[in-house]
Amino acid sequence: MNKTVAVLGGSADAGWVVEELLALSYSVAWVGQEDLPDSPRSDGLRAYPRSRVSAVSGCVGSFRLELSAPPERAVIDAAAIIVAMGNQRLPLGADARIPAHPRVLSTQVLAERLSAPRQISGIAPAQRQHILFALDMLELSGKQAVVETLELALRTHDTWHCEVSVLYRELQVDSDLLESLTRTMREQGIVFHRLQDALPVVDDSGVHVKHADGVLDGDLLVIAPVVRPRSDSAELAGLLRIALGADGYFQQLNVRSYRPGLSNRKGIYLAGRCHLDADDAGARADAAQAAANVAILLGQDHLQPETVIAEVGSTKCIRCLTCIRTCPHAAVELAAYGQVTAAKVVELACFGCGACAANCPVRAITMKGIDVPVWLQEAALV
Amino acid sequence: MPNTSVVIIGGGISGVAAALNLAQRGVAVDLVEREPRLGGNTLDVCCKAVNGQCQHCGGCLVAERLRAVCAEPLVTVHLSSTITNIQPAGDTFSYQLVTANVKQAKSARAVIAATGFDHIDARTKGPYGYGALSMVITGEDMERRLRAEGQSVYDCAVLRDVAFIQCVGSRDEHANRGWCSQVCCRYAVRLARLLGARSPQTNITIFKMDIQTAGRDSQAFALAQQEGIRFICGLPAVVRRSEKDSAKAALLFDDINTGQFRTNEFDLVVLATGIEPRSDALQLAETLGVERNRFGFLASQDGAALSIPGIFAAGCCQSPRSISESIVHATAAAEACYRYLQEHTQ
Ligand SMILES: Cc1cc2nc3c(=O)[nH]c(=O)nc-3n(C[C@H](O)[C@H](O)[C@H](O)COP(=O)(O)OP(=O)(O)OC[C@H]3O[C@@H](n4cnc5c(N)ncnc54)[C@H](O)[C@@H]3O)c2cc1C
Ligand code: SF4
Ligand code: SF4
Ligand code: SF4
Ligand code: SF4
Repeated sequence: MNKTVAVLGGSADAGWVVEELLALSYSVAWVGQEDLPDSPRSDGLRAYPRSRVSAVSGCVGSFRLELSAPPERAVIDAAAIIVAMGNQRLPLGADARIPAHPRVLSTQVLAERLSAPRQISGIAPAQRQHILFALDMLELSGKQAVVETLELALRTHDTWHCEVSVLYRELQVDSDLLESLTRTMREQGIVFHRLQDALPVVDDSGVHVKHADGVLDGDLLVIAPVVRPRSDSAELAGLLRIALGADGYFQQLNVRSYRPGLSNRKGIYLAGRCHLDADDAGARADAAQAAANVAILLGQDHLQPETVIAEVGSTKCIRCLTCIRTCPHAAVELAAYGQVTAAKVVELACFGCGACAANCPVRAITMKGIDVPVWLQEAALV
Repeated sequence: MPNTSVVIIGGGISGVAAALNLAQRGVAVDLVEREPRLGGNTLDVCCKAVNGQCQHCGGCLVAERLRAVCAEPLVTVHLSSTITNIQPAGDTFSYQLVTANVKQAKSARAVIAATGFDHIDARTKGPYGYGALSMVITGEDMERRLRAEGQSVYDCAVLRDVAFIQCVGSRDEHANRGWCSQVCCRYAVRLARLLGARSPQTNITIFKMDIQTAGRDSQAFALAQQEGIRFICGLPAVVRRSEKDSAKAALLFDDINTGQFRTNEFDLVVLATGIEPRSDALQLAETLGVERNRFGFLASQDGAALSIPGIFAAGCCQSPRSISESIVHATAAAEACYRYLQEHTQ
């Protein structure tokens, strides 16, 4: 069996997945739309930077991905696919409710100034007096944004020795890291205030933000990143025929078949912040989880279908395509049976859920138990 | 990977998920559970579907895995059992498996602790009157009853006003209980929506510090607000029996909008209790020789690895988590364990 795993996405999350897979000695084909982050040199790794997946065919065990990677096209044959494309951040200007003003910054800009040498940091010492960090400004910030912003606030306080305040609506905490981070911050004199609904007002005298106990005046307002699913998620989901949640992140929300880290299609897995909100530690654990799930698949000598799967009676089928539309796992396709064309269940991809059989208007689909030798099933698929 | 075996202590969802992953990759597993059944605390989690619409609480991720683990030939389940005397012996660990006072000497190449958590005892929060006032219950009680008796148990016309109080026994630095239990906001918001949908005449108020929505969970909170569930910042100081109506509870709280203390009356008060380290976590840590963090959860530097090589932690014994997060963490622990086995087996 081919033991190549295709990792899709150029994010840090994908980097961790690649590391985990290489440690398990699988071959990895790493595809990213951008330049890929530095990765360990390894014979098992083929990198496809600045490449886009343009077509996907096949099923678990034998996927074929076509890439458009100028100047040439490439083809990857992979047994499994891990989607780890990460998320994206909206630029500050994307929302008109945030005033465009030199006193309003993104965390990224502040972090750059913080590490720049003093004379070119672009902020006069007088402006460094009171810096406000705002979480949850337009929408509730997720864990990744909260951890990043709070760590930055603490670093700013330590580096510039200025007054720092944090604004929030629902402060995200956890069992250890964030609780101790916020405690350290409070001990160092950083003050937390709960935001009120009003938007910040910025003028030449400073920034003014309403909070539960009054109005806070500061010199700079640093806004926590607003994180979104990547804009190309839908396109990739379409090519892979996997589900997106209503919020645009990858995740199979069908209750009966929702499995953490598994997509709705056999052999396609999800890792990192394209399907969950997590800080770096959480995303790393998720990478290990994805690799462990892939290892179950690739640890087998032969792939085996489920014990019960669907089968189309090709002579009864009227090619209405209902089953192809209703199968939650993209396991039915049209195929030629000798002279006739009819629906056909891809055995390895079928979960045996029965949705197709229940919906076929002419009852052409039955659920059958499998007792055919495994080698025969594999041969039938080649 | 033949001739290797791993012992997993605890057969809750975390132990089961770790066992499944290792077994499916060819590692033999002894799964040791103290109770006479698998599943741990997840057996009390109820379905929170509102009018048949799933709220993604994670409750139904369990049954299928319990079935799968029992059918897995490489997993040997030891019920009503526990282990003692763990000793590192070269590259392996020797231990005693104790089943109903019968001791058996065994060995394993690696150990995964998946011993889970204890429910926080709401009586530790004396001013809320749990145990003394019949209309004060815990989230644990509510989940259990809904699970055992069905979604209609709280449908009754006399429930006009229901309050949830968040963070009972969690996030309290003064009592050295500074951790957030992570699950109680999620289950409380979902239970509140369920109550609200079943009994539209019921007014629901949630007293909270910060609703935890991280991890793609802001939707349930937003829906709850739209549906008219009232969220009040700040936890009540005390819960007393009402002087006007002895069937009701009176909550005294600081209203941040007016800056004054106010009293509201409720027919039912649900204390959102969470997750604390097991009462015997210290004993377990000592048996294994591993460290705990300042709150008593098993301490791990790197995801799942504990302070002794070859010993790992999965799920709520390491930190509070939901069911799906426990599955993810346990799978990552299985991965770390597998990598360790690869490095330590020729
Ligand atoms: C009130 C409440 C409501 C919740 N609602 C939800 C919800 O709606 N959705 C959700 O996703 N999560 C919910 N949770 C969280 C959920 O219960 C946990 O995520 C889950 O139970 C964690 O599983 P675990 O295996 O880590 O621990 P546990 O469930 O505690 O399992 C640990 C197992 O180990 C066994 N054990 C312990 N010590 C030993 C030993 N020394 N030897 C042998 N065996 C041992 C125990 O008997 C137990 O079976 C809720 C939690 C609470 C408190
Ligand atoms: S039983 Fe039918 S609907 Fe279900 S996975 Fe198989 S082909 Fe798809
Ligand atoms: S639903 Fe039935 S009739 Fe329609 S394509 Fe599928 S098998 Fe054929
Ligand atoms: S138990 Fe939870 S996840 Fe399962 S159907 Fe009910 S609400 Fe949905
Ligand atoms: S999850 Fe919510 S209720 Fe539970 S301890 Fe954390 S903040 Fe409090």
